Parts: sequence; structure tokens; C-alpha cells
Amino acid sequence: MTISRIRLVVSLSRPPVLALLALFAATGMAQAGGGDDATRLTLVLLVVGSFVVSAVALNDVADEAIDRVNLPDAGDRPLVAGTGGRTDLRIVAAAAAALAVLAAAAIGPAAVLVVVGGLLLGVCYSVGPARLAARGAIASMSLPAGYVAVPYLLGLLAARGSVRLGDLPLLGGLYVGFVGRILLKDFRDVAGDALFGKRTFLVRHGRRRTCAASAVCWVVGSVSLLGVRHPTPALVAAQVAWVVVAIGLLRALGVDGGHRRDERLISAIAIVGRGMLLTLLAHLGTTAARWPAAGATAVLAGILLVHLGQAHTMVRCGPRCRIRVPEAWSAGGAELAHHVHLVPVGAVLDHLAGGDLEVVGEAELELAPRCRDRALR
Amino acid sequence: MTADQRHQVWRVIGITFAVVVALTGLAVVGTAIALVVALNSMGSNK
Repeated sequence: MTISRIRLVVSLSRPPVLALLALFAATGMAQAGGGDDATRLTLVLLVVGSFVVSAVALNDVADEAIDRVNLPDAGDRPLVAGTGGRTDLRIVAAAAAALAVLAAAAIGPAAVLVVVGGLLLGVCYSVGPARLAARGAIASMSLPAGYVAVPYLLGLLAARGSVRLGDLPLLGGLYVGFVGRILLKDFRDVAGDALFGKRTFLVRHGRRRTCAASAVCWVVGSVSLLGVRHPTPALVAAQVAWVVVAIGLLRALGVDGGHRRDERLISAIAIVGRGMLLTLLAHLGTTAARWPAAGATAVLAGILLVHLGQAHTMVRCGPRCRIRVPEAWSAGGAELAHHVHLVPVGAVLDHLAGGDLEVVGEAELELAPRCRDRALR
Repeated sequence: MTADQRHQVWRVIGITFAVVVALTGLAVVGTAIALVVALNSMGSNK
């Protein structure tokens, strides 16, 4: 396999998405009492990773036209970036699906059923007459089923071999909470979605109702998360803190302050969501290891502190800016800043504001936020 | 302090914390924290 093929597969794995699904899988294993079994976890991650690559490749093929409008500079969309063709993606999707099923067979027949169900959901979501992705609230309800239920159930099955009734409230909480976050992903794509008649929840119901629906999901989901094993006061306090912060951010998002502000707020809400999931995993881990309450509380507090700090930075500064400029520019940072600020070309400013290019050289790192802020004014 | 430096500060704090958690016996939890903290600054919407 060539380097370009490896890059193609890596880009299709969408590392942040894969990390999220890995968290759900680890949570499932921990809920079943097998959270420290690294060998089983590796097997589950192989299944989950293959599942993600297959589903994403299919979705990229189906959404090529929309992605060209919504994400014209996205380096992780092979069809848009020109790093892969439709046939390449179809081959990768088929191979990854086969690998997912084979690896799931090593866990057990129930795991094969879960993966096949997830792959079928991925097909129905992206292509064919069903095309759930274009069906408003149904899209927001079905996507989390693949994102949450598949890895969580695989984690349970890998650790224990069965799913019990007591595991379902936690699954419900994770699912509803994730619906609350996935509703927001359409803010980024609203222009292309409306243009191509993709009737997302946001397109149908608007900003304020979408934020309100998300807030309801956050509250309901966090309450259901208390279906976790042995909930403690520290866990409850952490959940309350996450929800309060999320609702504050959603309230801000309910007011239209421009695309860049939306992006920052939604990224911050996603950080809060991931932090909530980590506190859950840490709670299960410390409970299984029989940690004293003080130690367990310290771990939860540490996760809370770091994630709130990252969310605050995200709201204030936006995501990391990776701008690539010609090598010759790196000779003089101040002069470069002067020239970049004067460039009136909208497309260039959009690139800078998008934060999706890579910085090279020494002097340019400090320029990115300033350029971006200027672009936003 | 630039935006990238702010992100970097939190990454260093978070990953240091994750290493401590991993070394105290919670290897999977520590690894998960490090992974998530490292990816948080990328701006994912999920």
C-alpha cells in the first residue's frame, strides 16, 4: 500500500470521530467491568475503526457535491481535496466493512450482528432511497445510533459477552446526550444543506429551536447517565457542571453572531461533551479499581478543569490555526503581517478564518489569530 | 499569548494530568484523557 493510500484511510478515519467512538467503546467495556483489558479493547477498537472508515467513505461519496460547497478547503475530504477518487473510496468502504465483520467475529456472533446492523445503518444514512441524512430530525436520531450504540454495545460484548437490562439506561443517556450535540453539527453545513434541499433539523426549525432541542437532550441525557454503575456525589456534581456550561454555551449560540462565532461555540460544546464522557469513564475506572472517594473526586475535578480551560480557549480564540504559506515568507514575520493584513481578497481571508491550513516557518504562528480576527470584523 | 500558545498550555496541562492518572493505575482512562485533550484544540463539532 502506498503512502497516499495510507493517508486516504487515515483521513477517512476522521481521528476526532474515531477518538469519540473509542471513548464510547471503552465506556461500554468499563460498564461491563472489563475496562482494564487492553487486549480486548484493542480488538474492539479495530472493529470500531474499520466501521468508521467504511461508513465515512460511503458518506463522502454520497455527499461529494454538498461537501464541495460546505467544505471547499477541507483536507480530510478526499474527493474535495483530490486525494482520492470515488472508486478508491468505494473499495476502501468495502474492505473496511469486511475487516469490521471479521474482527467482530473474534468477539462473538452478537458483535457481528451489531456491526452488520451498524454498517446497514451507515448505508441507509448515506445512500439509496432511504438516505436518512436528508431527513431532518430522523438524521439526528439515526446517526448517534451508529456513533454511540455500535461502539458501546461492542464494548459490553467484548468485556462480558452479553448485554443486560441494567446497561440500557446508560446507553440511552449517551445516545440522547449525543443527539443534543449532533443537532449542532449542521450549523457548519447550513448553506450547502439548504442549497441541495437537505432538510436538516436546523434548516427546518431554525437556530433558536435547534439550540432549545439540544439543551433538552443535554439535560435528559445527563440524567440518564446516572444509570451508570455506583453513581457518586462527585459524579453527579460533575454532570451538573457540564450541563450548566453546555446550556450557557447553547444560549449564546441561540443568538446569531456569525459563522466563526458559531464554530467556536459548537467546538466548545463538543469539548464539554467529550469531557462529560471522560468523567463517566474515569468514574467507572476508579470504581472498578476501588479508589478512595478523595482520589476519584480529584480525577473528575482534573478532567473538569482541563476541559473547561480548553472550552474557554476555544470560545475565545477558535480552533488551532494551521496556515501554510510560501517558504520565502518566513524570512520576515512583521513584514508578512503587514502584507497579510492589507490583502483584501475575500478568498484569502476565508482561508485564514477557516483555520484549516498549515503553518510553516517560524514567524507565522502568531499571525494566524490576528489575521483571522481581522477577517471576522 | 497567541491562540496556539493558549491551546498548547492546556494540552501540556491535560497530558501531564493524563500521564499521572495512567501511572496511578488507570492506564485506559489516562490514555483516553490524553487522546481527547490532544484532539480538543482541533475544533471538531462532535
